[in-house]
Amino acid sequence: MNTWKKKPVTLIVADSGPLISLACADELRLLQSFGRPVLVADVVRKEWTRKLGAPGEERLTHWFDTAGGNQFRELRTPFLAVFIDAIAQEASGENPDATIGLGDAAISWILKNLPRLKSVDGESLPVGPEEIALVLTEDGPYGDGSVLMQRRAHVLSTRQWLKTLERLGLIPSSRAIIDEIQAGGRRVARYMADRPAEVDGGTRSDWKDGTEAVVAGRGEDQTP
Amino acid sequence: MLVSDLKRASPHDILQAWQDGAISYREAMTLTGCENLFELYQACRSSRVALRSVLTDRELQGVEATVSDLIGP
Repeated sequence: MNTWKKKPVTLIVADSGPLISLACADELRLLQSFGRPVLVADVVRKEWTRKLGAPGEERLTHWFDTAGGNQFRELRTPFLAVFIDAIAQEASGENPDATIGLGDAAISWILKNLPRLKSVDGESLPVGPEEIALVLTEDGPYGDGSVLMQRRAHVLSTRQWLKTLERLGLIPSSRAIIDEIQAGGRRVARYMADRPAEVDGGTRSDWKDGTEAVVAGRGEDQTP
Repeated sequence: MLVSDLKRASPHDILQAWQDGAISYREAMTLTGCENLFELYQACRSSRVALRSVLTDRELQGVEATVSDLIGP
């Protein structure tokens, strides 16, 4: 039985996989169910806009320019210039795998530099050293490896997240969304993880309280 | 623990309840969406839920019932 104390996560760092998947199913609004700000590395955003016609790309771009912009922040990392150069290497055929791992490296860098984060506009973000980030990913277990080394980050996979939203009554069926994503031309990895950060010996992170608050708020809105 | 108590639990806590012997593997599969036992064990591994090496009483009874015909008097 769980006996540890729970400390809420305070921000969500989204990998490109879940964003593209949600865009394919036209369910990007679900990111707001965390009730937390969503941060995306500049490299991750570049990753989804580089392939014209990639599944969900248009919806992603539109969403972050409109409704998602209220919750979403794009972070500056030292990897963007390297990533752009790697894209050129892939395009020229010099190195067809040049971009592999750079998105993961950017997320790992963000987790290591929480107190020093800046938006792409150069604005400092108020993230304290004691805050806990949740990484939403579907890229495991190998892509998750760089995060795995950092026990202060909570890791959640797309599948486990959607299944929890179903149990909480926020969506009717996680299976239906995954089927929709696959109908949009994208396969969702079977990877399943909900790995709390280990804050200290007796305390671990929890992400669900924010979602439960959103569920409760929705219930109140529907009360006549 | 009742399965209904876990309807609102996190996936990690469901996996932990399974490894604590509080719910069956079938109940854990239903709650987490894992499609088979292998996925359930993989989910534990990815979620840093320690796997127990000792069978619960219920599992032990199931094994005994399964192999009783194979064991002589």
